Amino acid sequence: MGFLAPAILAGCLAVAVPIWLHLTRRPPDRRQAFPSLMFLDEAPLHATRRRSIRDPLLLALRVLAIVLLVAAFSRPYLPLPSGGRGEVGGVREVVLLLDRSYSMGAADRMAEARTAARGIFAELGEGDRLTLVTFDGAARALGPATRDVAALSAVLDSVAPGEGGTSYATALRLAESILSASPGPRREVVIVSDFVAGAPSAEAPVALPEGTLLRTLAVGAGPIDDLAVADVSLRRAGFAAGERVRVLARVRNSGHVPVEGRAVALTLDGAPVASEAVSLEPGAATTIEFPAFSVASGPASGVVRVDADDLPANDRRYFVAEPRRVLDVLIVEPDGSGPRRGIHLRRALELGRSPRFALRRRTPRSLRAEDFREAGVVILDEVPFPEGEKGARLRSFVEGGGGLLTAFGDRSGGGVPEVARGLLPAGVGRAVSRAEGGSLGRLEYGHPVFSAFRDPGSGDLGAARIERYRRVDEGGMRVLARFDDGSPALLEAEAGLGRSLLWTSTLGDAWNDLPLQPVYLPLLHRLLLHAAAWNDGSPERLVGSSVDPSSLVAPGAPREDPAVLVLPGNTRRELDAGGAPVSLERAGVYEIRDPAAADVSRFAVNVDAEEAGATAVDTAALASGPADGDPDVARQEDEAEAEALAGAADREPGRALWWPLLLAAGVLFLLESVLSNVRPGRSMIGGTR
Amino acid sequence: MARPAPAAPMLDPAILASIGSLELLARGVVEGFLAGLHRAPHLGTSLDFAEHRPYHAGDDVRRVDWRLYGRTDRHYVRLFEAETNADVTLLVDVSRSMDFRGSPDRLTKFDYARFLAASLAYLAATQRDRVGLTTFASEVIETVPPAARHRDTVLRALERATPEPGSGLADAAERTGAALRRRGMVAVIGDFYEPPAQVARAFEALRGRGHDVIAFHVLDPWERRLPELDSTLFEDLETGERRPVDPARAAAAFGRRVDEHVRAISAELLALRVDHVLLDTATPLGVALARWLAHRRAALRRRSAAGRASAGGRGRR
Repeated sequence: MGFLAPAILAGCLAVAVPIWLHLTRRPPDRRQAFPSLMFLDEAPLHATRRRSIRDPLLLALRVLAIVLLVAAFSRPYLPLPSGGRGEVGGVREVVLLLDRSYSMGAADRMAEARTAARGIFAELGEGDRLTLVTFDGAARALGPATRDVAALSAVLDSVAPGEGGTSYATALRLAESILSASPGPRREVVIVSDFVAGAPSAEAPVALPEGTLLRTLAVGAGPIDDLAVADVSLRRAGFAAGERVRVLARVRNSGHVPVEGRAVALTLDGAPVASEAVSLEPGAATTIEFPAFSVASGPASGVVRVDADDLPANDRRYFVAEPRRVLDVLIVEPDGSGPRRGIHLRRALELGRSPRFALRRRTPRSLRAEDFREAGVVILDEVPFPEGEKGARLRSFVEGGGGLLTAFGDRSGGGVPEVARGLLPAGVGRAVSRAEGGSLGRLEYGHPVFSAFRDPGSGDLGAARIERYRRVDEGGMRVLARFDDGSPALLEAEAGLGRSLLWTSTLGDAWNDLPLQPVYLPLLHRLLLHAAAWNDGSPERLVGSSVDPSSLVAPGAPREDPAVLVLPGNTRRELDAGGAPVSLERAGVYEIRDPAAADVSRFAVNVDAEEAGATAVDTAALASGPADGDPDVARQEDEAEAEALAGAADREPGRALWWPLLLAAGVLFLLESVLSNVRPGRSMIGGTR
Repeated sequence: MARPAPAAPMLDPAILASIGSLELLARGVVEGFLAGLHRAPHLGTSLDFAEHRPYHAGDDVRRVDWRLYGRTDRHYVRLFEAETNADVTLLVDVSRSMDFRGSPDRLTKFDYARFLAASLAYLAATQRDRVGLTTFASEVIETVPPAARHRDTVLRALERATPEPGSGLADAAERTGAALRRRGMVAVIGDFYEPPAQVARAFEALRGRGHDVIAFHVLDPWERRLPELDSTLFEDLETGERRPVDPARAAAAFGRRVDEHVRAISAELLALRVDHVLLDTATPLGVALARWLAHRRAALRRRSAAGRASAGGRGRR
């Protein structure tokens, strides 16, 4: 017999407490109302005489009930005999998904995971096969399916936590592909993980093959000390005497114990700059503002780190601060526009500081093909997509990585030229008037344009009154926002390296009052930054993501030596613009040394701050069954629900014993209650007299 | 002198409890008590001189005290005891601490106090005194001002009384003393579970206004001597506080403290010239009535003496 939480067995010592209490402190047998207690002495506890146990049966019932209760909470299980499961319903095809995300590096989680995995190995019966898969953001099978427990154990011992986040969906998809190819009559997926995250998962459930049983084994239930650097942002100030950057570090207590006076330090280019002490309750977060530093002389890379704790992976966050750049915005307005035309748009962009926007105004008539050369993003403000050479240049501008933001208006009706296919909807319909005024309805808050408005109080996009818009055929475009009547409001399409955004109403106040709303400025900025794929010179990437080499080095540029990517730890890797994506496996500052470029460029890679936290993953929502309601899936959901009711997301790797123990304890308590009530004159301890 | 009546069946508190009507009970008590006395039922119907008062037109000239006229050159009329109506106010504690009896065959202190107050009211009315009532707990619950025809009103008020939370003897005494327009006699019935000095201050409020005061200190026998019980959780009737008590161990100290408390109260009241009558709920009501009559007699004598002294002083001027 094993225990999932053997430490709880120490609770058996609690049986001594009631015995001691009953021997030394015993409530009086009877109650007596009395006019006043002013002349009565309280019976001193030490004066009560030691009593003998008068009713050993009741005492035994109570002690036994406590012992059973403690035993139940220690989650005992009986390992199933080898082959036990296989003998019942045929051989099994098991896929064991072992979480190796960085949160598994906390305390003894990985050791517990290995123990749980070995429990699964022990269940393998004759003919059963198991595939060991490790996963974080990606999933990888560590060898073919086998019943060789020794081989599996050897592989298991080599598994160590990485620095990646957790994607259960990725792991389950790999499990699904393995099981789909298996002829085994019984399929089973076992996930061994800590099942905690910093935020609820947004992953869609994965459909497993019909009849697949999903089991989840949670590890690491104990409290951990984890102070995490959740985010680092840069605030820029000053232009005259050189730009200065202030580092804002958001620190969060993702653990279960309070943090007192823990140091948070900023290091720039390897030199310590400043340190602050923080004290945080579990779940609390704070932002630390470090002294500003100058980036006039060039980019700087740094790291904000906290003192080591139980989970070291999220104790540091890297960043690269580069001098500010300017985003060139080319605004194309209708011919004959007056000076006040587009004033809301221009004023909003002139207020941009991070980055600054350099504005150029053109009309379709004054637009030149070379205008696109310097532009970062082009705004077609109530003008149709240009045709002919201008249109072709605009398209190649977008496909080359430029951004396009199109806003509709009175003059935007009609067809879309062939050259704009893929950038705009094929058909642009009539203008729709909303007499009573519409509003923005459904928004994709997970999208970079709207993510800043996700939190309550961060901007009410629904407050804008929309009086007119143009109905469009969504075509191949992704709808990012809809009006309250369901019509598309904001659409996005990607073409080549660039992207095109379409706002189906006006950017001015002709068709809506969005320019009068507080959210107008940040929304417009985010639209342009997203359209231009703007990064602030310090793009942060997450461990586990990959980067296209062509985005790091200029394709086709003449160079004698190949460009090199220097990884943390000074590992070098040649970069080929047409080569395979580079996987970013470690957190740190990556350096790109391209002989064709004037300067060395850098970018920071960090762990996903949302990986660690105290939010329990809803294990019941990880996988979905076939639409026709397969009974095994239903059973699996019932079990998940039962586990939720029991307050545990884990399962014993064998026959669970906790519930019969709990039931027995309940029965004993009931029996004790009945016995002590039917014999009121008898108490467990003898009387005083 | 009036002596305690023998414990006639009608005066036994346990038997009184079976009588539903408070008026009937009071009448039974008083008449039973008076029947046991050797004196006439109406004190003062004898020609016991009580006091003088100035002559008013219409007074019987035969009652003018001519000898006093000779000394003082003023007309005074002689009054006898039966003609000196006193204001009698009953101040009854109806706090929850009174709602206690140690044994089911005894009266609660609350009922004992009610029966005693009813008997005193009946007796006072029999003697043509003006009778009034104040019941109090944490504050004054009900007040019946003294009047010649208020006997039944007082009895009905006592019928209505129920145990109430809190105890505010000082406040009730202060208010009652202030409300009485004439000096009279006040009988305070309660268990006095307050520090002796605090109890004394309450009686000072009455004495300070010239009232003759008698304190009927009612306790259950258990409040004098703790019974032999197993270890018991005692619950304060006033505050609800609970305290585990081993009566076997606490009894001696309890008895000593209660005795000290009673002695201290008695000494304080003696200093204030307040009669202190300690009663337990097994004591026949006749004992209390006899003490009341003695007190009344003494009070009237004090008043007569004071009246004569006052008249003499004026005569010498």
